[in-house]
Amino acid sequence: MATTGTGEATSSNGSSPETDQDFDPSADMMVHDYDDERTMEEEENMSGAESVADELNDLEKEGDMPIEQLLAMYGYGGGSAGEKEDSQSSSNSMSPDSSQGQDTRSSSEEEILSNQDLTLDKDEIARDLLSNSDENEDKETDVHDLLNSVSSSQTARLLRSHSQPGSEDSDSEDDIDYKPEEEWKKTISVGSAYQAVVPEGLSKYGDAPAYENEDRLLWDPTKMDDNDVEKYLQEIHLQILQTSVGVNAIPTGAHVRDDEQALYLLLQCGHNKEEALRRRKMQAIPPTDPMSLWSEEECSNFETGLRFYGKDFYLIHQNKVKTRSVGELVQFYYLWKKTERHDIFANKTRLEKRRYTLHPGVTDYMERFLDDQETPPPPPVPRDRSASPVHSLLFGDPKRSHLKPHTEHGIGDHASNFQPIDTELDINTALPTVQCVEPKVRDPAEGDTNNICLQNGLHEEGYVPPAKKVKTDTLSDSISDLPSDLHSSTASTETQNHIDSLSISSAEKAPPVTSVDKVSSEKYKSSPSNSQPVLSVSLGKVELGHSRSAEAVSQ
Amino acid sequence: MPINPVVAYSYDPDVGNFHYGAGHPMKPQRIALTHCLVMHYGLHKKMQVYRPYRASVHDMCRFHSEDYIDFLMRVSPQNVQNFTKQLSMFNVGDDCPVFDGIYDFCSMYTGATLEGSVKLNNNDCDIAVNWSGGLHHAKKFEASGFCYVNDIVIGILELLKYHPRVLYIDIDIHHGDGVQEAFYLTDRVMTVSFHKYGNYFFPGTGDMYELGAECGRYYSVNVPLREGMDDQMYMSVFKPVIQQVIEFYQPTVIVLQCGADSLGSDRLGCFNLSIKGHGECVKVVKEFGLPLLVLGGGGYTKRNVARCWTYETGVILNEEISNEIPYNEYLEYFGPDFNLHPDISTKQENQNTKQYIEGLKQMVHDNLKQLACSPSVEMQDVPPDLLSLDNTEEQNPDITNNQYDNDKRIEANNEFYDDDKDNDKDEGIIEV
Repeated sequence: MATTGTGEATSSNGSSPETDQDFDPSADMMVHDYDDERTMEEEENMSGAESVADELNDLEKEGDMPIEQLLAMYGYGGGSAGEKEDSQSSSNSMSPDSSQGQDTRSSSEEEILSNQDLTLDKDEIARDLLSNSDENEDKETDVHDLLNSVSSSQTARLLRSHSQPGSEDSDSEDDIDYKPEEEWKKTISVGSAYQAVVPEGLSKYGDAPAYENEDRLLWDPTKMDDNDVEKYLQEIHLQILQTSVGVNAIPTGAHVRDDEQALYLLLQCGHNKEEALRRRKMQAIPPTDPMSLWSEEECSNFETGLRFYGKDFYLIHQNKVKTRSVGELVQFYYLWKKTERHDIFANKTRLEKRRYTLHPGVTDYMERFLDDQETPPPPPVPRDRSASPVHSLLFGDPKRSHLKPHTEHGIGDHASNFQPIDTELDINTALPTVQCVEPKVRDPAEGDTNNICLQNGLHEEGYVPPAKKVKTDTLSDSISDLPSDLHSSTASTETQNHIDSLSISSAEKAPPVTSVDKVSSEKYKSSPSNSQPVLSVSLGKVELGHSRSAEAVSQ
Repeated sequence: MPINPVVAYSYDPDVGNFHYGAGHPMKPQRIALTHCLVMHYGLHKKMQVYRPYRASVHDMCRFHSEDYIDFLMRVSPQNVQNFTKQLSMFNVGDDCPVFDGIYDFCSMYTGATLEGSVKLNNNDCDIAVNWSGGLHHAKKFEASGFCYVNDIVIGILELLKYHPRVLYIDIDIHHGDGVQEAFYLTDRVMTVSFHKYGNYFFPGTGDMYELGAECGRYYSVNVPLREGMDDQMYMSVFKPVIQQVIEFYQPTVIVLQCGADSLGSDRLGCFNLSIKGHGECVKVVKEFGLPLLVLGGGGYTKRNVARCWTYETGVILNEEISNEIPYNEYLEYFGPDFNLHPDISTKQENQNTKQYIEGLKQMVHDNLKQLACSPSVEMQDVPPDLLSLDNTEEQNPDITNNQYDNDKRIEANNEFYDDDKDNDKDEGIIEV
């Protein structure tokens, strides 16, 4: 019975709150299952052949039963059609399995367990447990109220379609009906799947401490007097000045500069200052900051890479700067970010961006895409989890959420224009494969569409061009990350056209001025230094012409 | 603990060079930024500096499931499409994206925490610091909240080899759910978390009624707070709670997670602590004179994270450091003021009332009294001689000598940091 119990219970998770309550007992059963992973086998062995036979009979009966009866039996009142289908398929698939004997039964049981993501049941279990002890009824009902209120909004669909963890194998319909994750209050799970195994008693290290020799002491302050260290560093510094050329020869001021490597050398020499200095002299090339050694070619390649792939340092490494490791690229990026080079780079891309927004569909939108990355990151595609804050730390990120308009304030007209997209989206996000990839999908045009939709006051779902997304997914053979998506979308003219038409059409719908407004204010935020021309643009309708002429000048 | 404690500071030069992906608020680079400030304030001269051990699969599996760790090891942005099932199973993808070097990153920060624990166990130091650690959300079977491997749990498990009672304190703005969950049923670890709770705030756990269960009942302490906590009010609850906890629980070692997202102006946080206010927590904990493992954690406004942890490194070392940030390669990040203690408060109103705070304190106190009334198994369990055994181990000459010998070993010129397994990165420098 446990088999069907688990199967039914999990598929029922998706049903409405009322049915949830009906199924509390089954949640208990699940607790049982999860808690006693080891005892499960024993249990099976203990239950005699007759009970197995009984069970088989039951199952067979169930298999023959019409769905309606079956549903009634398991307390399904008003489940949706999808749900019915699902429960049917699950019970159907169960019975032949189980009639083959105990071995297959247990394996199918395992399969269910492994197919169901643990988190899926975790809340249920924990809630159940806690309601026995601490939690009072009020909270429960609160949660249900919350559930209802949330599910009435449109985000709910998105949410549910996503939050199915690990049910790749099950029907996507099953996921759509999944709800309980929306409650924000979560509880700590108890069971062998969650707790650490605390060693019994206290132990003693053996003769060879576990990790002792694998780390490396670089400096120990207790061995030497502070003043001596300072003197040593001064001498090292002088040495550098004498021997080095170029940038390194520039005196860095009166204060003693710290030199990790020099200190390490001192330690290696057993704190013998003279020896350390001598060895330092012998070193053919003074160890310098690796960052200063970037060649002009590497720098410009890096910038081109950044323009093309955004902040995907792996792709930049693969395609542009093979001479540097991904780590070095990341390090370089953070240093480069605060240099003039970056300012020039950013200005250039910003100009390109402006050109584009004034003449949508004319300019290469790669540039703009990158710019979107420079300025506050674009709202990453309606993210499943961003809608479900409990599951997402990112949810609280203002840099992401500021682009997420409030559902309530949508302008009717435009919103309705986008309706069809809405429904499309739902279907798409319900596909389990899309879910995992989605966060990384970021097409060049996306930021743009986002912006436009924002102007229109559209809510989240509105601004996703879902058809495009699916196409991207299926087109790219490696849906690994952002840039590959970028690739595939540019490669596919179909997608491109779609995006272009979308953005153009939406631009037509929205008053053009607003679009300029939006972009410019965003720019202003990101770089005050660059704000002059931009500000004037944002002043009003008249300014549009101005900015055009400014554009001409800049061209 | 002596007035000037021996401090072991672990930093892997590569740990900052990872990138979670465009637009992701978690930036490992903040660790590099912190280290850079620590260096340029000259703090590294006052403490032992280690390039840490890197944790192995075996180490990670002390807490996590093998399937999960195996997945982390094999997955990369290039092959991620082969792992769709695992991605959702292990909650990897959104908050916790797959990025290049994901396993190495986990291995570095976990290794550094583990090493801190080992050093504390061996009495090699009084305080161990690892700013790259403190990823408190990771669960046994899944990633969560930017955390993949829970280095804290693994570090505590190591400490438990020697210490009968470990106290874990968490001042990250998010609830330390991963650690609490891992030790929810045991009395050998007490977890105390101060965090923002309610209204969809991540991770949704950390109610004051979460007390632990079974043997661990009353060994989980939660102090749920509302947004806008300021220095004064935070200290008014932090200090008495920690004092009582230590009085009642009598820990033999403390693990302190210093998540810097409880600072004002954090990208994800909503508290209003100043850097000094945050550092005060470290000071309070340090003054109990117990062995201490200090870890990083959250913190999403890079420059303030670096300021905060640098200041706290100074606090740990009893070093006064100047408000003026010394010249360094990342100086531009600290503009326009270039101060260590800029005003980072926000207009966020403090939603906590005095009564609420008093109520919380009372509740914690009542719960702690329960703990005293029902003598824990552990407290009886520890045979008295084990404590003296600790003492005999205190100065293990072999260990220290081994290490020093090893470090004194003369190496070829230019071979900084390299060991047998690591020769890829630094070689480049020499060649150029």
